[in-house]
Amino acid sequence: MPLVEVVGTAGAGSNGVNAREMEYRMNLAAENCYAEGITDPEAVRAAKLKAREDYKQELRNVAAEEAKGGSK
Amino acid sequence: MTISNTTEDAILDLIFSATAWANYADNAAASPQTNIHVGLHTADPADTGTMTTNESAYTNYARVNVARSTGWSAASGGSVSPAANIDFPSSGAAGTTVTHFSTGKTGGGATAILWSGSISPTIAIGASGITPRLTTATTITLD
Repeated sequence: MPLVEVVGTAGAGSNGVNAREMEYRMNLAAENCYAEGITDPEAVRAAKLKAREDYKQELRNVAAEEAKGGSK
Repeated sequence: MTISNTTEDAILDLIFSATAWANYADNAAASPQTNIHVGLHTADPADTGTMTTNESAYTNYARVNVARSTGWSAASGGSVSPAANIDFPSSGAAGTTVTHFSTGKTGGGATAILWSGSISPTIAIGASGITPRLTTATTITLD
């Protein structure tokens, strides 16, 4: 009787965050964990949350660049 | 425009763990929800959907109750997770592939969705005896 373990990712975004993009990146992080044989839920969750933080940092970097451009 | 992490956590804890948001909001005094219903879907229920939108209907499928008192982690960094694996009933026959999950009010029917999102990997209900499990690596976030 197969037990199919999956990871759910549900995000609500404001702050300029595209929730679907963030969800995609977090799922990708989980898939990468499984591909590397990492199945510990704590480790998978940590990888997902890191992907989320990386995405938000990218957004902050873009905003900072745009602010520089606007001040010229 | 930002929502602070503190505010994100307070909102998530209020909704998923019935924890009062000090000085702003208490858990419902009359008929508070004691559980969060968790459902499975065969396509994205999307922003306008309810828990019945594209809801899975594999044989034996049923939504699962997760207690608001103990069923979810304390919010941190704008994220909550189930405190334990969420196991759905084992399939009684082949059915449709499951791709999304949702959370919402108990009681059944077309109740409003709180948060919904995708699952990875998707689950092909290709036979009887398949038990879908949402692990504790599942995340519900607010940003």
